[in-house]
Amino acid sequence: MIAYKALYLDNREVREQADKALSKNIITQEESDRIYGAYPYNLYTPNLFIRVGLFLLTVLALLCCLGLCMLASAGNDRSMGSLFIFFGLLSYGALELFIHVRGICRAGIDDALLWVAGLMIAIGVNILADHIGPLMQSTMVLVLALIGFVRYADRLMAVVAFAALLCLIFYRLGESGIGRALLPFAVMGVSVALYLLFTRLSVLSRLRFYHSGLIVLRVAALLSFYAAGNYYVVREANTFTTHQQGQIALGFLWWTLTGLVPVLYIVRGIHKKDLVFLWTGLGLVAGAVFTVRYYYHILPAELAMIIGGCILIAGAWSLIRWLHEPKFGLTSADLDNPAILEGLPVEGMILAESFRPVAGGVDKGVHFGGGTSGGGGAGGGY
Amino acid sequence: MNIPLFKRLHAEGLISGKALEQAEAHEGHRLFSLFRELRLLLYLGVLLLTGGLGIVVYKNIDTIGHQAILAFIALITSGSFYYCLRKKNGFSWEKVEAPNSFFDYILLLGCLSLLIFLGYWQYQYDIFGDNYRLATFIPMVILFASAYYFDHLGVLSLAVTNLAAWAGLSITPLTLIKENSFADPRLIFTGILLGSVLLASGRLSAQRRIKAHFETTYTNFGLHLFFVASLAGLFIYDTVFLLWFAVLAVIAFFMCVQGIRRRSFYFVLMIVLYTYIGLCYTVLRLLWKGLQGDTIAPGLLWLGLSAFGVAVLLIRLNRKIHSHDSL
Repeated sequence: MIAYKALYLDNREVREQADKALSKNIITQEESDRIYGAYPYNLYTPNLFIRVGLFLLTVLALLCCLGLCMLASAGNDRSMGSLFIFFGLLSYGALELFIHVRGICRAGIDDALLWVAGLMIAIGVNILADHIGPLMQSTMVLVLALIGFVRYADRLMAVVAFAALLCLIFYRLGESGIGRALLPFAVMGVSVALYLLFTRLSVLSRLRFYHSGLIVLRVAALLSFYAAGNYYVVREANTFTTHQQGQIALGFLWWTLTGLVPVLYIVRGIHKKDLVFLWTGLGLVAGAVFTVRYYYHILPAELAMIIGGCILIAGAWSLIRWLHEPKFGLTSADLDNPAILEGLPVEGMILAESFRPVAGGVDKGVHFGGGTSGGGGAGGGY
Repeated sequence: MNIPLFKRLHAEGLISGKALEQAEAHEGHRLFSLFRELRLLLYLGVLLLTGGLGIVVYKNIDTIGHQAILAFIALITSGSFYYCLRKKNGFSWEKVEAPNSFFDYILLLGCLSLLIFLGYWQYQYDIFGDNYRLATFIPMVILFASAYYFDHLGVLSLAVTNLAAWAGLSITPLTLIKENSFADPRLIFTGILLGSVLLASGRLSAQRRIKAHFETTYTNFGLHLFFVASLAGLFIYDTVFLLWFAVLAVIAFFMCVQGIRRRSFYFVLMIVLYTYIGLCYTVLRLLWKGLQGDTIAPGLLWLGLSAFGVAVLLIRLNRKIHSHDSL
């Protein structure tokens, strides 16, 4: 299913784990070197800067190729459309070739080829067909993005596919009156179902290469669940589909969801120690505040800013102080920075805890590839 | 930590039993850190509060009066610097760690409010008169002194941008191209000169071990300034553009060699891309001249092929450096 060589992707995961362990002084440099020797990685994966550079250069080269082909073609719609589609297919071919022959992986070149290929096909279809409705459009994007995600594990493609799916539901239900009334509930239902599905899938070791993509998808599902119940979104969507301004039914329900969902996300995030919930909730608090302020100007902006700022500073400051010594397994200390750890009672506590029977450690191991425990680094990166 | 993986590595004899135990202990008793979340909230709160206060002051400036505001800003500035002077970890030409996690922010607050203070003062009371050079020179000196004395990279960046402002240039990332009119030859040469000075400062810092970790900041500013000014020169002096490009290419080559020696791929990448822009301009100009205007097809062909070539070059250079994935 995945285009990149599975063995190397696995080996890279091993190496990353070794790096992490080395940085925390769990293994020695020698052990790390031995692991690197035993788990070779022969794909070309440069750092971010080179990836961006190669991406830009590849896009430039592809566009120039396309420009040359366009100069040579007849110039009417039919030939242009076919040219775009042909060029898109060619890009997919080149992508496969680069991956299998040159062994590139997340090197900018493959990203550029994948995105150009998808875009070219989409543009080509639009030129060829006189008019395709939003339903067909969404379906096409969904299919192209799914290819990008399933075959090349591209995280951004996963997000595009999810958005396309939402568009599909939106336009399909927006066609009829009863559909319009059910639209928010349908989107919420789909979001919950997909969230559960993504969570289940992300613990399967067979799908381990899609793990980070599935985390992104979980965030997307949480966001779409919130959006489906947000007063502003519901109202605007209603205006968009019915072309009628004005009040919407069940206003109380939407306001409750607008305010409550972010809080519930945060509470669940802290309770379950789930970074996905926590960060999505924190982000959505801002969304809720803006929604309220869009309709009700309770306070002048500067006063609201001052009061909000004071509350935030006081709250965050006292929480930092309060959690200085860990409570309920929570701490305000930076655990990824061992230098800071030294000065804190945390270390003593961990040391003391370490002499407990190891059963706890083995138990946690079930989380192989799971979202919460290993996600110390994963959650923040997006 | 992935415990099944570590068990496997242990079974394969790659890691010792002690390492496995440590990994298990680490994973079993891992705390859930809210470090970043709480810092983010604190930061947001400061942002909101200062923003709100700013608006209040702006709206009520008639009733509050300039002197009261100036006094308030001066209070913040002196308070911050007083805190930093009391808490600092002593001075050294090497890297000095901050005494606590708030120190850096408070120093930054002090420096920023100092800049606001001087700017406000100049704007309202013309303390430096028409001598704008002096108005940027004094904060520059204070900023450089603070950056070296308290060891703060952010303040150093502020100081460097102030140095450029003193020389008449605007060099923050977003304004480097937008706000400088590089049609002015004086600005081009100032840019090239200042860029070279910054690059030299970077090298000196590293060689003499005078705050060696400041080198990246100097080199970064210097590199971008130097190349943007040089490319502007290339575009403007169209009678001697071949000579201009030749000189640029030679300098770029030597800088590239330096970058490779230092295993800094970020700099090598930037040098290659900037030089590539110059090369494309030169070749397209030559094509335009040689073919009397009919340059679309050969131009596209050249761009496509050269982009491919540069991509291959980058990969080669990357393999050559083979550095760990860092700057």
